[in-house]
Amino acid sequence: MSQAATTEQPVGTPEPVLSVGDLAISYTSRGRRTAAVQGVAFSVGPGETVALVGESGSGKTTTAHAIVGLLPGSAHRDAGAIVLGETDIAGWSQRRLATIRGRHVGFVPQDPGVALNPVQRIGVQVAEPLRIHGLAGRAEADARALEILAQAGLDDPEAVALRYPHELSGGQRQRVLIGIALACDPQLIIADEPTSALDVTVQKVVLDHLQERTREAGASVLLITHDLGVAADRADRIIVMQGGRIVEEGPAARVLEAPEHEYTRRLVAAAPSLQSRRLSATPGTRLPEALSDAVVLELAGIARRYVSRAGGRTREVVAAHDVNLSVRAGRTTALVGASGSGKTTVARIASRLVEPDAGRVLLGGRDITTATGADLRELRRGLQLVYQDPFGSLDPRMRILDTVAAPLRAYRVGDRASRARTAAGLLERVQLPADLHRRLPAELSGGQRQRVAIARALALNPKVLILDEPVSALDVSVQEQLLQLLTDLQAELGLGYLFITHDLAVVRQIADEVAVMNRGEVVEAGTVADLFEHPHDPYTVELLAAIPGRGIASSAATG
Amino acid sequence: MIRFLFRRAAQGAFVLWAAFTASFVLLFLLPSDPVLTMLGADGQGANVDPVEVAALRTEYGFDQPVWLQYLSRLGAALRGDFGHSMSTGAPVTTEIAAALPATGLLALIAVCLAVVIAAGIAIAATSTSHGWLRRFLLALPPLGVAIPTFWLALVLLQIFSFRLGLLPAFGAEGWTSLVLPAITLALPVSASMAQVFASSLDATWGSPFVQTARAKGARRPRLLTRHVLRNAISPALTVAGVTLGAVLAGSVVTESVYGRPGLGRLAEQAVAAQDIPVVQGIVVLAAAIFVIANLGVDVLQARIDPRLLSGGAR
Repeated sequence: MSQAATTEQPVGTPEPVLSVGDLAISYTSRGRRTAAVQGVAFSVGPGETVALVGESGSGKTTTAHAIVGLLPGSAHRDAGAIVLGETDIAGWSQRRLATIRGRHVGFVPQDPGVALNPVQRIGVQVAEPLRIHGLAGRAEADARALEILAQAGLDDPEAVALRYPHELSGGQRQRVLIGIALACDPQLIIADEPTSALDVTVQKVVLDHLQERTREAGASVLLITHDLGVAADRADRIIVMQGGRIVEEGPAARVLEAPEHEYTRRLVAAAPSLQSRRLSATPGTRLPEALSDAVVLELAGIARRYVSRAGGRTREVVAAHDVNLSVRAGRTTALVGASGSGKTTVARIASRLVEPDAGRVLLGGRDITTATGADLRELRRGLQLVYQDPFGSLDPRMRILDTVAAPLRAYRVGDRASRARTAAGLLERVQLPADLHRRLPAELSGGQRQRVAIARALALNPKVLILDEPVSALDVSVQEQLLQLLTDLQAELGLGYLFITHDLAVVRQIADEVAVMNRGEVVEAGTVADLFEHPHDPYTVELLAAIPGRGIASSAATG
Repeated sequence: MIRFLFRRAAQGAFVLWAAFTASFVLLFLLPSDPVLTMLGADGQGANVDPVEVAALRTEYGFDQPVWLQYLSRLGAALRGDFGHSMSTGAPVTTEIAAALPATGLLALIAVCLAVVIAAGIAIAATSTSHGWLRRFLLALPPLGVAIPTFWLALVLLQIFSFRLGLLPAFGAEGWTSLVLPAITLALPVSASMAQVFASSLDATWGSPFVQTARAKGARRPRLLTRHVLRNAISPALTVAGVTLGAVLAGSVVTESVYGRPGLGRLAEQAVAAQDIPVVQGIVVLAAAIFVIANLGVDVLQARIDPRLLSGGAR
């Protein structure tokens, strides 16, 4: 876990807890066989934390699932040994593997939001592994469950034990899941992207907790992550996977500071970290002659409350309180905050999808707060949205070209042929090849879909784009390409961006000004450089401290 | 929970009122004259004593304006009085009460049978590791949905009563006479339940929390009973509530084919004889059964899934 352990525990410790040898796994779908993992070999020593790093499709999750036999029915292990302690469990039946799972290998799943049984009380779910492996009777298991919940750092374990998963926050749920994984004192914990679904600040707390608890228990950890920063902070050794193969392996510090493989170098360079600079437009980008930096979007004194009626009680939530914000042409204002901070509400108010209780929204100097009907419709042309989830924001049955042309159709711009030409031009602008025009969203990658969403947002020549977490769902290398695209488009078209994100690292790459929101209020605002170098508000300081991968910052900067 | 029940009960009351009103509008505004029909002389006005006709009109209130008829009937219905049968003269409530037990028993057995068949097929199909068995079992429900009730009833009669002589073909004597009608009613209903339940089970097996439970070391039987079933049952319950209507509708055909007394039979005869009060009573009763069944389903679902009571968060 610690930096010291790296030197004490050289690669290939005599008796590893887990050693995987020459593992090959393929998936069969519609009679076609695709190799997912090939020739993967590595080991995890006692008390060691090993990070398996890679982007989607690298085979890291398949490898992790294969170890405990959690692969879906379409997957097949073609070759390889999986030695746990001294036993090769590679050929074991599901029935036999069940005796290992939970008992000798604990598993922390990816998304705590859906990883707990929604209709079963927390206490029962925590006690379950003890009951399954016959380590405790009913009463004893219940008592142990309370201890586990207490160790998980949850206040009032008795009350938590009686709750249902939906009554806990994401961070609390992940603590419960870590407690479940550790319930039977396993020698090995496999954590499959344990914090990708959580906010940065929560991510830090949960990872600290995982580190602390596994160290106490003396368990080894195999940490699956796409985030090189997380790997750098938490792992003794890093294994980098690409296309189903291991491309590089070594002590964490060495891999990050002196990556040997070309792919690792690219990953390190793409990792958003404290040292990333504001991206500049790609050389050769056509710049408009006169660049004005007039304020194009302004929010003044925005306030909004929500009243929720849950279980007969009325609760008032302040989603926004006296929020002031401005976006300049050709510039990016970032709005940063954790989930529930109110940043999405502000974005919705800015786009007039939600009515503010107080305050004004000015678009290009015009007060649009009270615009309705045809006026509002006309004003909306100047302000377009790009959402976080490129899977949900595109019509799954509409072809790409039609999707991009849809706003033109809605505003009756030109005729059919000219709309198709404009849409094709937009797709070219976001660097999507013409052979994708007739495709459906399901046939595109996440990054390509987000490009389509951007092209669609540009169709009506807006002045302002509201980008709601546009890159959070994407792999780092794709994320970097997309941020570069946004930067180029901004320079070319003089667009103002309101960039909503929970990730401060991204802010540094794309934004000029930044506002930090917490519980509905802007706690700090200013230029990006000021905020990063002299944060004033304790919440900003906390956010900055939570960015993973501070260790790799210096090496990335020189790269 | 109380608030939830109250809201659902209010919705139920509205459905009952709507059923009453719709049946009133449809039945009382029919072009034919119920009094003439009653005298068995529809279309042959010459043979009927006009005095008698007028007396009957007054007795049933047909001489009043429509809206007054509606209000007085609604008022009476609220007190549990649906008037008298025009064929037998007995109170509608008595007629229905006499027919209800036979149909109630039949429907109960049919629903239980349907649930058992549906659960059996769905669980077996989603649990088996043999692809062919799964495909075979999942092919059954669409077939079951496609089969018309009357055809199924006739085929069952042919085989079990006439060919094999195992079960009685007609009547309502003893338990054996219930077997064929119950199967006839249950099969189509179980088919739609099985379809929904099987796809819900499949989806639940693939959900992340089932993987969490597998990672704890749980084996398939435990996964099924502790984790999958309770999460998968909700859609099947909804269908079960709705299919109760199908059971009632099916009882009309089933009871006619098997010559059993009951609500379905009563409805069929009442419609044929244009016995308006009886038809209306049955419509309102059917609506009431529907409302109560769905209220029961809602309460059950709230018991199963705690998220439903907390304002639907997540």
